[in-house]
Amino acid sequence: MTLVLKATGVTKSFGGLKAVQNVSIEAHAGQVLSIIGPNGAGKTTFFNCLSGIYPLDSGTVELAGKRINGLAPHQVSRAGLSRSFQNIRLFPEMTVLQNVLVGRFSRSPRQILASVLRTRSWRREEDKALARSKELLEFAGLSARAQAWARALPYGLQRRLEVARALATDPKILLLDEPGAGMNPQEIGEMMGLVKSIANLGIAVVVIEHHMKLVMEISDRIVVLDHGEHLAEGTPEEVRRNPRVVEAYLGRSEDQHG
Amino acid sequence: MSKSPLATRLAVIAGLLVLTAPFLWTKLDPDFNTGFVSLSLAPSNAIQFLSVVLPAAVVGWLLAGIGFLWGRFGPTKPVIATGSQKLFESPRLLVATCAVLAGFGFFMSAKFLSLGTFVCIHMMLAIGLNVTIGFTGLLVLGYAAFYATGAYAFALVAHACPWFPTWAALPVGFLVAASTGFLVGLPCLRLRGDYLAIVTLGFAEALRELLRNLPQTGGDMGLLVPTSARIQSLGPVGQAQASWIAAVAVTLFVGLVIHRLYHSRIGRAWIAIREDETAAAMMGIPVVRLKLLAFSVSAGIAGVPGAFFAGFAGFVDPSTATFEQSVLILAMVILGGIGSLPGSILGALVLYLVPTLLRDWFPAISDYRLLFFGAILVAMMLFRPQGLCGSPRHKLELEGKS
Repeated sequence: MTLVLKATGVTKSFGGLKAVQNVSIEAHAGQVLSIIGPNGAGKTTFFNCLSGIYPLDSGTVELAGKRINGLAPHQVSRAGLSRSFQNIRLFPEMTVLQNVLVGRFSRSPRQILASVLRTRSWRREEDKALARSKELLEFAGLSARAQAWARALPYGLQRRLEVARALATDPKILLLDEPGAGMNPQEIGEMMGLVKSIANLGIAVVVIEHHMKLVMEISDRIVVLDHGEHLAEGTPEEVRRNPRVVEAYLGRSEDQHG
Repeated sequence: MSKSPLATRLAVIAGLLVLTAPFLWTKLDPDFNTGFVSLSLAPSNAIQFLSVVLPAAVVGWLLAGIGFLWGRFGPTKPVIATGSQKLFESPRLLVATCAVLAGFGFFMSAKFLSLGTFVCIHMMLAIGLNVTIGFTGLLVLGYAAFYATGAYAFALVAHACPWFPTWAALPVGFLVAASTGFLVGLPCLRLRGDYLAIVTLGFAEALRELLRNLPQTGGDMGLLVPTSARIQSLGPVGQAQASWIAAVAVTLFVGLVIHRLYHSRIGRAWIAIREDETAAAMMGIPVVRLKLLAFSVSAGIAGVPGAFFAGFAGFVDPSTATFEQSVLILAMVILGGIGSLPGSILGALVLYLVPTLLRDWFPAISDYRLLFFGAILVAMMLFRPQGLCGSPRHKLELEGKS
């Protein structure tokens, strides 16, 4: 198991609200780590901290041994961390294929003049990007829709497209923010398959998810956040049995008050 | 039930009549002997006003209507967009088009060719503005400033070095305007939101005042471009023909460059930024750098027709940097269809030709040009927000609804 991402003591406050407090996680290549917790537990804020959208108050984030906290989002992406968004953020007025092609931006050489002159090397690079994007669409099961407009895709496929687009940046680690939100059981099943096959590629996957069946099925490990704090961690079985987790989700029962 | 909308309408009309009465329907005559002011009806004012507003509204309405009908009953494929795609993808077709258009130059009068040259200049301006507004989604309100920058840059260079060749006007205009754009964009493109709109608006006004007041730029009179640096007749090709041929070639060249940038990694990054800045950054796109690139390229492209204008007209003056000029270019981009290259070309053609021809036919209208643009923009926004040459995205929306 190769350690890909190591976040230590990540802390982020908004004014008086401590959104994320001293949270540490480790993500390993080829493994699925799930982050669960009640609404407002700071899960998405934690993702935003990892991906460079929010600067950290304190703590460090290391990707493959290199510090990535303090970098801008595009540098984080270049370093090998990619993500999807809770409220889908595709490029709606581009085609499905173009959405994925955008993801190839940082993995293709800078060629402004060459793209105007349409040199042979430009065409070669363009073909490469195109081939890789089509491969990813195939992988995500979107090949048939390659020329459709992103906004015209049904909801479930939009989520898959976001994943395919994130994969186009050749990430070492992929953060998925509620990939199963709003999906029907069949779509959730397909999404589980997709997440598993991403992990099988050797990519570290971190998933925020509320859908417990999905979480229990795909996760190698689970981290539980509550009120911005690291509450528990372990295998799905351990977390399910942890009384503190049950309490955070369901509240204390009367007799425990004593 | 059905009475209330009618009543509302009548109330609105009555309200308008009352509100406009002091300006349009009535006349105040002070009587200096008695000290009284008498109020009398003066429908002639109203008739004069309406004689201008109504044609303007009708033309705006017609344009929007044509666009609407074209979208509704026209060919299902976007013919203009496909045509432009074919044109700019095939160098052979492009050269042929250029040759045919240039050939027209030998059959047309000098007046017509000069009109055509101005149309080309405005096409380049619209193409350039479309890069920021249409592709990257950045609002620029003082675009004419870069047009003036290019024009003055060439005029000043030609004054300083009289041996300066005319063809070098274009790279000079591009480089000076692009670097100016870079400097203007540098402080405000780091911020999100429409700061660029205000900054460019202010820059255009400041630049115009500078040009009017600096001794080096000749004040309100502007500068004459030395004859040696102007576009000249060449053998059997007269000056008007030479200008027209050069204008066509340069416009097609600018269109080609932008078409190719648009269909490349850079162009995709620009559109991604327009669509969602955060998601674009997360895809590894250095958003600030690419916005600056888009804005510099856009400003640089305005410098090309600027320098061309200097070499063609033989003079430059501060009127090139007016707000009206900026609004005109903006209106061209919106009329043609935001984000569409053929749209910009079409918008420039319509919005330059129609007012100019109207000015020849109905001289009274020229005072109300801005009103005319306003009418067109309002009509377009109401009936065909995607512009004459709407990009496919809006078509899609319409299809989705039906």
